[in-house]
Amino acid sequence: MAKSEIQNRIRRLRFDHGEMTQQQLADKARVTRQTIIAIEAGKYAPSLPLAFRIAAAFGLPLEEVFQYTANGDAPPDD
Amino acid sequence: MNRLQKMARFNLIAWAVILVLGAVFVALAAANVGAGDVARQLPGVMKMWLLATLAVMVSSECWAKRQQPSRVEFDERDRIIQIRALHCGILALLGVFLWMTWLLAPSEGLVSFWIPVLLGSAAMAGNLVYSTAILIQYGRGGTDGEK
Repeated sequence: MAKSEIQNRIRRLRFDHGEMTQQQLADKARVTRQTIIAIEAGKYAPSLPLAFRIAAAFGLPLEEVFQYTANGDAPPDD
Repeated sequence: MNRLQKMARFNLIAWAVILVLGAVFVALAAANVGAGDVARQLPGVMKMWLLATLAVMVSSECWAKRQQPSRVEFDERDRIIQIRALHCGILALLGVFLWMTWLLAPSEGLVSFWIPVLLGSAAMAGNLVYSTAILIQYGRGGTDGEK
């Protein structure tokens, strides 16, 4: 499957936030753990409301969690 | 594995069992009373088939009940997957219905004798494609990267 144009730093951010589990993030964002797994893997691009809920779960603005890349390349990780 | 996947898997397993048992039943009946008599009973069998389709769909809903009410078990991604699968299922249902109509209805028109066969086959095809499409969209084995 082709990589999504929407890249994200969810995996990195989970570990930065006290090694938050996928289930904990799923509960906060009100989705299933499978959806978090799919988003992390770049297999699913979330809706705008869900993207905002995930960003809110980390207490960060949307653009610090999700990045748009026109050709699907991974953004530089800090 | 979430609720939708469990329902789809249940559907496919139930249909596999029904098809195998149905094939065995028809083979035994053909051996005992002759293939001609079995063919005449086919619409009756297909009525049972229609009932079996409904039974499988209803029981899969009941079987895949919520396990942890506090957790989200159906979200936007599941909805998208279900809608796509539903489109595939409806297409299969219509496709099989039209194909069977063309097959069973020569120029003089469709004999009412075959209507249960048509409906039963279409319902089964729709259900099988719907369930398969769900499992395919969730990924290999339905685990989607879970460890």
